[in-house]
Amino acid sequence: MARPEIEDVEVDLFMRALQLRHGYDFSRYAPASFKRRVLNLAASAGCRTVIELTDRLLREDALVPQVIAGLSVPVSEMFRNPSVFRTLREEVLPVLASYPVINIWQAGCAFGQEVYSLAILLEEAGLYDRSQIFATDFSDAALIRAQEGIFPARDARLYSENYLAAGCQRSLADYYHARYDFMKFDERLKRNVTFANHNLVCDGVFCEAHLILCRNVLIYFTNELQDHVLSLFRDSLVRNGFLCLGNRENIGFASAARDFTPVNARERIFRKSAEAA
Amino acid sequence: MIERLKADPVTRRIPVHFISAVEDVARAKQLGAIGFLTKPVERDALLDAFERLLQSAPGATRKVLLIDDDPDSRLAVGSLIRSDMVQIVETGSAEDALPLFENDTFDVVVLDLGLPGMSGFEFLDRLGSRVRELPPIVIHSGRELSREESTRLRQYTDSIVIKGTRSLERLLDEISLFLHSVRKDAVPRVLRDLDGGLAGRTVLVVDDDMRNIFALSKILREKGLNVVMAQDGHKALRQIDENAAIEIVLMDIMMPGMDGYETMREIRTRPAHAKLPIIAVTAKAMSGDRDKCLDAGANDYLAKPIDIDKLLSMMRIWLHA
Repeated sequence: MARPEIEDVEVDLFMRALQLRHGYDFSRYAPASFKRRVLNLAASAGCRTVIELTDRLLREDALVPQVIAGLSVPVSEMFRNPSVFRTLREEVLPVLASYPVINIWQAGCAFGQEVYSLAILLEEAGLYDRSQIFATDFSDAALIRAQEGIFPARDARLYSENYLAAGCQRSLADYYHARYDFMKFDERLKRNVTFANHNLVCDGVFCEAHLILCRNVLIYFTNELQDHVLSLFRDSLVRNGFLCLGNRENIGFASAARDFTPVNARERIFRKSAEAA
Repeated sequence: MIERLKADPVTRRIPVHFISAVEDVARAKQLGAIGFLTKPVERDALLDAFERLLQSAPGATRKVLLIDDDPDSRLAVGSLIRSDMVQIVETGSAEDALPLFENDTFDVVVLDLGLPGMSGFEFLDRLGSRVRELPPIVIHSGRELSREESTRLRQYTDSIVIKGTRSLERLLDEISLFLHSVRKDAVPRVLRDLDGGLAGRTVLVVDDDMRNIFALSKILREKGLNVVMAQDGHKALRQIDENAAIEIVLMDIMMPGMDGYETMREIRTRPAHAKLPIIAVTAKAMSGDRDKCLDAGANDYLAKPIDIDKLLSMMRIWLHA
């Protein structure tokens, strides 16, 4: 039997340390991307080896938020994949409009770009005042960023193009103020958003949702963990509730997938089957 | 007997209703009975049982009651669900609908909220006090509802449809759910299993998840507790300030607006409630979450999904202490 690479052993020990000492379980994350993130973390913390990072992790509690932030998946943009938002606007929101109160769970909200996109979408559909968005992430650092609603001004152009491609009706500039190198989104967009820490790996159902968005999070999980998370989504959704995943994500293999029916397979939008308990 | 009936393909589809001196509803249901009565049997209960037997017979038609003052709307909904298997009864007001329940039962009632005269809310309250068991209700509303209104309706149903461009398709979903289900929820009401340590005590349940609130209050009421509900931290504080009868609080942590931590801290600032027992209920599972609850003023901590036996014994302890 071939001996494992030293680096792989180090990453494994790092994972064990994080779980034993701090309670975070990454054992069901896809190994390749987890390893890449750990190596990046070690490098950016100025550690020569992962073992050195592990040593610090065990002794410095203050390092934990930074490590968790580094291991979470904060890459996103506003109205990313505009056609998804167009489909939400045209196909999903009109159905959601038939509920007296609309609960939306954005699972893995990272820096909040999609939360603000969603709030704008609901505002323009005249539904925001009876909507409640739960924006959750397991990284406290990401949640703080998300609540600020401040993004680099250099992204404004891309975000505006996405906004228009999604078929929205006004101008993105109506919703932010540009200051120096940053744009800050209107505080009013947050009036019905609850930001909260929630870890998909170990935390349970906390709301009754009509729509769940969880885009490009499952790809970092093993099949087993994906199945667990899909069950969590199923149990949170109302019957016939909607689930929107990332456009590279497939759920066909998961046993929980039989509780969902695709409504728009290309945009990865599903509905919880009426038969699912 | 029922095992032999259900094992034989010829007799399997005959609906069976138990009448027994011993109460074992769960086992009867498991064997495929559609209902259960305990001896001695009252006449009304027996009639109800026969009604249920006839309705679940294969090939029986399903009866839908439409209550809506707008004839066009009745027509639209009627044509949506019309079939040989469905009998539709229509009325234009709640006043006319109430007497229908004296001699008839319905598989689904579709109720418009904007009725002239008696409102849909009043109709539900009155119907609830008249019949032994409320039929499945689907609310069809022409206007948006406030949070208070939808909470009030959720005591009767979770099928609430606001009229709009895509609402008829959802209305159909909701109605067919009840038309095709084998009325598995229509179990005769189980006698209240009063709990010595808990009966007569008053508990405040604070949660924004309606499903939890109603599932919990149902169980707690069966144990003889008085249940007061609040959907968020602000409403919970108001209840605590105004209702001196509240002896214990079940507090959800993740709520919009004021969360459970903040609400508990706020409760503890009130001298009168410094010792009010609070059990924090949370979806969070890490060890640090428990400490955060206790730091914020909780006396005890319970993880979701709630283990009812554990909750009840926790409540007994804190109410006794």
